[in-house]
Amino acid sequence: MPRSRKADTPEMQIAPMIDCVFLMLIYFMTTSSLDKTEADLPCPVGGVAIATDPLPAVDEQSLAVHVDGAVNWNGSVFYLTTEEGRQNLLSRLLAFKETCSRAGSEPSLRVLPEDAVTHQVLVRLIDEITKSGIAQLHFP
Amino acid sequence: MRINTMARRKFNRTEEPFQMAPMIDMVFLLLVFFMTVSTLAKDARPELDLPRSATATIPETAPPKHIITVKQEQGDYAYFWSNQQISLDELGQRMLGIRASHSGQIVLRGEPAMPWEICRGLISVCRAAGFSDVVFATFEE
Repeated sequence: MPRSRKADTPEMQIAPMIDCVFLMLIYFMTTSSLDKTEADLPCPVGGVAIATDPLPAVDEQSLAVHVDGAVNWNGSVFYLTTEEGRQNLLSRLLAFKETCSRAGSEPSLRVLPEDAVTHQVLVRLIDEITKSGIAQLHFP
Repeated sequence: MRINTMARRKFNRTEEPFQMAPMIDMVFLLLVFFMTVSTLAKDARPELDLPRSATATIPETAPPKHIITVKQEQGDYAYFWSNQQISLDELGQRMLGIRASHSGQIVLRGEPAMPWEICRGLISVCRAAGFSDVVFATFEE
């Protein structure tokens, strides 16, 4: 009995392909981990100064940063570890900027951290200074 | 008996066949997603927890970057240039080397608990090599 034409045609076997795809899917699902996007916070390292004529007056203040997250500014203490402390520091920074603006000078801050001050505390301080809009910031 | 067999056959014929095509579509989509993500995640830097910042921004157009990572290992701090562990002296020499060829941004990656003492050392190396465009790597708060 002659075979029909349909029976002679080879069919594509999708079962092994599905097996393979499932294996690859499980491999990638178990090995991959989602990466958190990192954000950049400018760090003031100091650079080349370009002299302008006339030179702007600069009012520089020093901020001493302690291990416990306390910032000492001309006798006033602000705690970076609390929301209230950060708010008070921001208000003081804005007042300083306003005073400098009225006097026609440029506000500048020199940050003096203790050796053991953590990176997170410094980032919080830079955050508050950035929020105030004071651009001149120096580290020793 | 015969009647029962006939009834079963009839029932089988009315059953909906299992639809493979949408399942294969979904599996392929998932496979392509995970393959793409896992390739992107392959980064030239050690895994690290970073400090949280409220004002840090994700740059839209990133300049050429040189990534320096400081990681605490067995009570001591280890320095990494991209993924390669090097000493602080070697780091300074390497930075002087790339400074001569071309400039770029330096990204300092440190854990939230990293002390200022370590950070100051890195900033001094950047200054000595003449790099002024330095940023701290953070996570957005």
